[in-house]
Amino acid sequence: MATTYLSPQQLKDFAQKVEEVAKKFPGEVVRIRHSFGRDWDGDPAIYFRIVVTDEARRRIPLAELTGKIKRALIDDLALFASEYSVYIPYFNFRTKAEQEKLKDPQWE
Amino acid sequence: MGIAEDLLMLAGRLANPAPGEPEQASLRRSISTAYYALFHLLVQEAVQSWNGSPTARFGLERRFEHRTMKDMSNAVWRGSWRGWSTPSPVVPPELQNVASVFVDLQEARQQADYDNAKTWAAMDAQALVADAQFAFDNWRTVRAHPAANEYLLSLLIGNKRE
Repeated sequence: MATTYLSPQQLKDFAQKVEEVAKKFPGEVVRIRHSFGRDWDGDPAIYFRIVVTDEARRRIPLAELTGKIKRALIDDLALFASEYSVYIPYFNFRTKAEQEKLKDPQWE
Repeated sequence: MGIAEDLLMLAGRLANPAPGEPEQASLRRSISTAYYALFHLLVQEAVQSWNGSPTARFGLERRFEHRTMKDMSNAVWRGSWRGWSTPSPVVPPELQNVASVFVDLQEARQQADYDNAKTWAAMDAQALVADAQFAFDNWRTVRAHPAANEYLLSLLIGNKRE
């Protein structure tokens, strides 16, 4: 269930900014999906689901690859310094090949 | 090696299950184990200066609460945490990394342990283990910093009373 304090326009702007972050990494990121909700403790949360290219997974050390995508999302979306700061961001990663096997609709 | 390092090594193995091994169970245990590796690293660091008996030390270790540790780590991560000394110590980026990984791993661990509807990819677990390893490395770099010391105190007793 989507749980958010944001207006429809804010949600639209947010989705646009997420798209822009994904485009900053054409060789690494296939797509980024996100949803608002509550984490296991009930705190407001944003869940990012990031599909990376198989080539990037092979080529780039894992912490470096995930770290730069996370930093870009936090910085470009101003996650800690804006109306989004009430949400705790969480990041999940999988490769394109893994998603093609798992076929999880939330990641499409 | 201590239990924290052993757990981290085990988490790495579980994140790469061999063919024929139960993949989802292995990935779930990997994520949970990576969280407890970092949890025990921080708790051990916090209580190591305690000079009481082993029994008392064990009792102190049991006082750490996951929820308080998450809240304090979240505050450190986003820059809203205030230490105990005045002025509050500047938080080095290595400590922010440790705190951010703690928050992320705790949520992942709850999902891995309790949400059986969720399917994990190997990269999910491997990324979390890599984050945990990076947090261990960063902790070694920053553990003598005043902010790190006050962070450990916050993990045990929460916010400073104003």
